[in-house]
Amino acid sequence: MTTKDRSGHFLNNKQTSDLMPHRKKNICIHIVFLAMMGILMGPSVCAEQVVDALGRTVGGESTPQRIVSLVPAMTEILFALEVEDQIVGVTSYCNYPDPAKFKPKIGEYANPNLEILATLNPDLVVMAADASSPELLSRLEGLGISVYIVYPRSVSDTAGLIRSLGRLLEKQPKAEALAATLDETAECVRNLTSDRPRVSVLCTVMSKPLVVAGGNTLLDDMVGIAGGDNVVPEGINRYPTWGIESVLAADPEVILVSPHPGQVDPSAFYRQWPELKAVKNNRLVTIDADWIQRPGPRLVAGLKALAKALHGVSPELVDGRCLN
Amino acid sequence: MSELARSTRTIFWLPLLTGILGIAFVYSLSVGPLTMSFADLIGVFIGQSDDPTQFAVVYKIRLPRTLLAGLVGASLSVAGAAFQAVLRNPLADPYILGVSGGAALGAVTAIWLGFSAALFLPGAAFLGALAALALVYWVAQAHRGSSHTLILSGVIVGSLASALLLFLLWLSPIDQTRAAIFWLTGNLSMAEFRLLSWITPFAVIAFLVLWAESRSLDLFTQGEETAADLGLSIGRARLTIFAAAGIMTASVVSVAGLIGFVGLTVPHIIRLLFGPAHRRLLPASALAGAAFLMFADALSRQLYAPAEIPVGVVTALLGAPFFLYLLRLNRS
Repeated sequence: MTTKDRSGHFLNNKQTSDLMPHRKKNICIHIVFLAMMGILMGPSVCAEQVVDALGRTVGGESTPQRIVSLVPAMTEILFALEVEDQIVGVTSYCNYPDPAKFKPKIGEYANPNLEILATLNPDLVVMAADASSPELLSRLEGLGISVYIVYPRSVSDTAGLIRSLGRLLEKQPKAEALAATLDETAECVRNLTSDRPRVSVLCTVMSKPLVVAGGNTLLDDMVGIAGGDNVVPEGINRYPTWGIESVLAADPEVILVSPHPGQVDPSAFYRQWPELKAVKNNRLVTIDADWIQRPGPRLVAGLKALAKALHGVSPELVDGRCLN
Repeated sequence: MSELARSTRTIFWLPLLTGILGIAFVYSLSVGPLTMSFADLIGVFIGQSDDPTQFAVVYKIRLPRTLLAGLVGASLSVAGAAFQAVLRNPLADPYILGVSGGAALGAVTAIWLGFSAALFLPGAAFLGALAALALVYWVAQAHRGSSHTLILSGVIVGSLASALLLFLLWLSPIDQTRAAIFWLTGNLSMAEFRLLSWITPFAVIAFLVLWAESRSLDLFTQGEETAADLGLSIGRARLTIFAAAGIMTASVVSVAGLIGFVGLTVPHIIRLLFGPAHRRLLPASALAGAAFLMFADALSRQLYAPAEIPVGVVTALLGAPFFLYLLRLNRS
């Protein structure tokens, strides 16, 4: 099923592209033809089609020129891809890099202000599968706006995502460089820690209530790469709420406490429990939450910090091995 | 007295409920994410265990939490029984007079202002609950107004508090919203001995006051005019009962959040089983409510361990079917 609205955006699902594999080429030829006829105004560059996290096909027309990011990590990727001038709106949580703070704000990622969003006249909205509702997606589609949905839960997902966005935005070389750095850092950290005994780790997301990162999360993957074992088993909830007794029962060697700015630091809470190995051995580790919880280019810094915290591998050693 | 109550050997309520409470107490102490045998548990209690983790789990986590569950369950049930009697309304629960809304607003204001540490949160919730109660009493002129006016003003004050609460949640960032919702759904994980020592006096004194008013509560169920004819000083009795039940609710809500269902259904269940006389209903509700919440909280820790599910979900899932069964049994 293909819908073509008045502004000429295509939104079609994966089935369509399977049924019509030459579709992209056809459109391109069509557009180039129209451009040659001098009928079509505006950019005639043809971006690649990419498949998003829900299997929807996005792009294939002109390169997006007016992008709204509803995900702080995606804002970071967009800035790293040097498409700053094409970003017309971000969320109030998009605080990195600094210029992102001065972009127009469309509210919070779960419920952006649709009116502001529509006024910005975007031709691409990037949103997260787990933070935004299907209703929001259908509203945006109803407004004729292309939506690219992301759902990265690992370092390799993140690298793949950077490459996809690079194709979508005609920034392949830059994207390839970013993604390769991330992949290589992960590989390097994995190699440097693989022959060391695994360290059991608990990743705290917030302390009131005590929310921890379980399996199938970015944190779980990061810890695994850096030679750690997440003590939270895979369960119904990716981010379950735990009682302190569960922490005492699991008794991890390292507890990761990474408060966001303004959050209560969970260290004080854990220090009430000297029975915990991690407290006794002074292994409550604080790493900037945005380095390890935001699936973007700064995961490189996060991986190095984790390797140092879990196994004492210095960041210089990682750099020396990877960037030879 | 209901059919069921007449057929139950009412004289056995004390040993029966005490026995159930004992079982719930031991069960709650013995389950949790840390695997411990019964022998380990006994070892910790008689000082034979040299495992500091087991010691900490039993004395610093399970024991205060179990005692808090008991205290909260007992208080909510007793307050519920008192409100049902004095308002002559079977749908009354401890939260009916705006206590829940006031406490929630107080707690969320504290979270919003960033004062979530230590005793700020329960303190703010307690003050919020008392403020809501005072407003309701003042508006409805509790000592002489009608019980309808009271219920109505309680509901309206509660709605006002909810509206302010929703506005605050809207203002709050996502983390604070999650913290607030966690508090609102009710949980016993804040249990500490210092919190227990803080609310126990309120609960005990309020219980004794209500128990002393057993006869007034019995008369209230006959209707206020009948009660007045039989010599009850309506205004004084009502004010006493409201103040005691209100403070009792406020104190437990401030440490445990809004745990639903216990205060509404436990008194009904006890009334069905052992009859409506408050001299027996109040202590029996206290024992049954304590056992019920201990049991529900233990299950909430055990079912998806190491994760915890909200205890309010468990109380409703356990209590509702049992209550419906008793209702059906009583009709036939």
